[in-house]
Amino acid sequence: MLKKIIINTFFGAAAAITAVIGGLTANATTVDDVMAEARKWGYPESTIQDAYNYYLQDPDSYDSDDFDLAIEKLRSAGGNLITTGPQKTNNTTTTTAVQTTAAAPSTDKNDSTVTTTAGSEPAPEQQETDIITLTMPDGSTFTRISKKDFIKLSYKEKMDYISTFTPQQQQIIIDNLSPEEYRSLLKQLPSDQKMEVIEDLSGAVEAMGMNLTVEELTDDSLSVAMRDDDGVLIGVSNAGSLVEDTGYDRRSIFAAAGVLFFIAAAAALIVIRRSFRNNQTGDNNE
Amino acid sequence: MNKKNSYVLIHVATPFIVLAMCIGILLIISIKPSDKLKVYKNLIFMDELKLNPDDESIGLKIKDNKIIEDYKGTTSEDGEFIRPAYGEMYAVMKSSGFDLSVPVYWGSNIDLFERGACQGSGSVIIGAEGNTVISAHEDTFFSELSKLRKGDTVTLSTNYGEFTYTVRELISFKKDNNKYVSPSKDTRLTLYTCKKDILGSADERIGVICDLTEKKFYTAFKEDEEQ
Amino acid sequence: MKKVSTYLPSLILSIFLVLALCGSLAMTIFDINVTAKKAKALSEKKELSSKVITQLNKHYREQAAATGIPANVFMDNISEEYIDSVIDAYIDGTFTSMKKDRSLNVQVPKNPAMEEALETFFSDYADSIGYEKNEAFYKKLDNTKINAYKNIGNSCDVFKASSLGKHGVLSKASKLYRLRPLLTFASVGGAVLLMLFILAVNWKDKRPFLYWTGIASVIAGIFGTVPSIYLVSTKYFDSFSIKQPQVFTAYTSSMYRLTEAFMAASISLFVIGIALIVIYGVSYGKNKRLADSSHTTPEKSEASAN
Repeated sequence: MLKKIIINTFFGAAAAITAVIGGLTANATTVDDVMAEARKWGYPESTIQDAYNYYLQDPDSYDSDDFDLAIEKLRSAGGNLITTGPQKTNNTTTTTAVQTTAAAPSTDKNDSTVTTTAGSEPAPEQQETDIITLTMPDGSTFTRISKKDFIKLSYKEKMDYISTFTPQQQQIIIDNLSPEEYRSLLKQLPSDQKMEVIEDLSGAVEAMGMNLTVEELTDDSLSVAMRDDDGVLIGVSNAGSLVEDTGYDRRSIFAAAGVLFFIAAAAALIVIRRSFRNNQTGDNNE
Repeated sequence: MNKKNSYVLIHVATPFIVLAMCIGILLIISIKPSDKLKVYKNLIFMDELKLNPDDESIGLKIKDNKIIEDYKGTTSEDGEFIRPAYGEMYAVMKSSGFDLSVPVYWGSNIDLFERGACQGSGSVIIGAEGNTVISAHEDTFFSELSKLRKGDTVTLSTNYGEFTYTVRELISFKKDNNKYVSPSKDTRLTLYTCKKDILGSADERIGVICDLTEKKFYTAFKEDEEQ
Repeated sequence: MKKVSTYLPSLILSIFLVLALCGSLAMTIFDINVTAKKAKALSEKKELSSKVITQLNKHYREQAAATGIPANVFMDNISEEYIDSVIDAYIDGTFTSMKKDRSLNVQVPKNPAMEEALETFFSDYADSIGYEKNEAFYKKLDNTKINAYKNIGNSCDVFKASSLGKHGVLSKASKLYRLRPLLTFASVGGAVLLMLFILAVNWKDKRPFLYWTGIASVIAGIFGTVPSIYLVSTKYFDSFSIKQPQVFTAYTSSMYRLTEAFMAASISLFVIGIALIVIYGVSYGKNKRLADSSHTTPEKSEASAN
């Protein structure tokens, strides 16, 4: 039985994005812009493809207004994924891969840097193991751990690490997270937070006359079904494992057969021992 | 008296012993034939002959279509796709390695897997650029998938065209590895199923990756409309 | 059954005998009932031709607006006898294809009356609108005739042999069909052989042979009867969701017929098994009474002597 709860899910944006696409106001934006935005926020490629396939079923029913709202909702949802908070300087983030605290501002130009200020485009890609240097609006710089090291942290460790920086620094870090880092956040998000994050998208889905239903929700996976007003299934989006279960489970049949064989063999043994032993005893007595 | 009781025991217990053993044997030997019958039943009535009972509980509407397989009109390398709805049969797969045709449904679901092969809606439509991912049950529609070798061809007939892929690589991967089923930049067809496991539902998957070698979009319909 | 050395082998052999009896029963029923003659008889009995005519009528009425050809041009010249002949042609073609392992090739019997009606209609229509009877005209007429035969053929292919062939099922069925005499012989021969083995094992006292064969027959009978009764009583095959009424009737009737035949044979086997066990029981009881009376005789002599 399905839980008929209208929920917003981050991964269910496969349905949500495409649903959101309908009925919004335009700014000469295209569907490709929406897809690019989704990639930026770390949505899995399969989810994006799912949404794109759905859009392609009736592309004429969408216009650039729809795409604008989709982008807006993606940004809003992504913003809810990780936000700034008070600095907690006592937290230390320890993992098997990295041990670090908030780095002091550095003006060392020999460091590989992400030259950026708040709101600007991210700098070119760096070596994954490099410490990343970020620039504040006032020109000062500070460093953070590499992308690879950040991805390796658990969700709590990520949050603790971010909170070792000042709120302004935290915003800079968040603004410059890569799609891979967002994807790792998405994957690690606890189930209850997954549901909270997608509030914006849910409203837009409902406005399109469609409903989202969660088919499966765990910390590791999420499957969302989208249905139209008549309850007809339009699509199912899976985050987590995309590999289907393509085998029948025969264990119950083999178990039943095994039990029958065992019972038959045991009964045969009992019959043989009791009956033929008695027969032999009877013969001997005679 | 003992002797009499023992004879009664033998004569009464023996039929039940034989019955239990035979039921166990029949349970096991009937697995394969029942799988085959399921496949044949779906294939015989594939061409729009079935009244598909919709699964009301989840809103799934299954639609079987008559797929053009003997198209004789003009074709082209470019054309338009006819996008299927979720639960719609939109292609028939044939291969030099398969004896049987396999119907292909858009979307994957327990009910759809009982009717044919399923294409994940997160993969690209047949003939388009990217990774087309199709899977089916190892016991039924993809029971012959393991016979495919490099160089074998797989032909997918749809109502908008016929597309031929050639097997390039045999693959094997674990259930939690999305590498082969994720979208790709190159155009390919990925077919996979469970590795044969006597108990069923293995964690490992086997399959093939095929390159698109021939595209034939049907163009005659458009020409007819223009006339 | 006094020794383990006879009991255990007999037990094992009887298990195999049950399976052999089930197999031989199934193959025999299949061999007898899956024939062109039986299929044609079924088609006639279930009046499939009238169902085909109803469907064709509906089809031509629906197409009339698009084609401009009234349905009666076709239907007035399609009789039940003609449809029966087409159905028979498809059945013969299917079995020929299976026997000779080649692709289905059915020639739909010609219907001169229908062709003439079409020609007349086309000619009259062309005259009425002043259309020249050129090559295009005759090509259209020929296409109409071809399509008419195609539609009739599709509707009369009640066992969907063309679909079976297209999807590769016919070649699989052909393999089984060509092997059926061998399979029947093997299964019946296997059953006989197993019975001989049981007899050999119980050579010293042959009566248990009746018992072992009896229980094998009873159990094989149960295996055949119980599922058959379930399928027939729950009208299981009526749940096949097939759109075309004639195909639905053809398949479900065939399934029911096979199931009922199998059920009857299984019940017979069950009864034979019971009879064998009863005979064994009677002979065993008789023997026991004889044995008991021979045991008491020396005691009586002693008593009389005393």
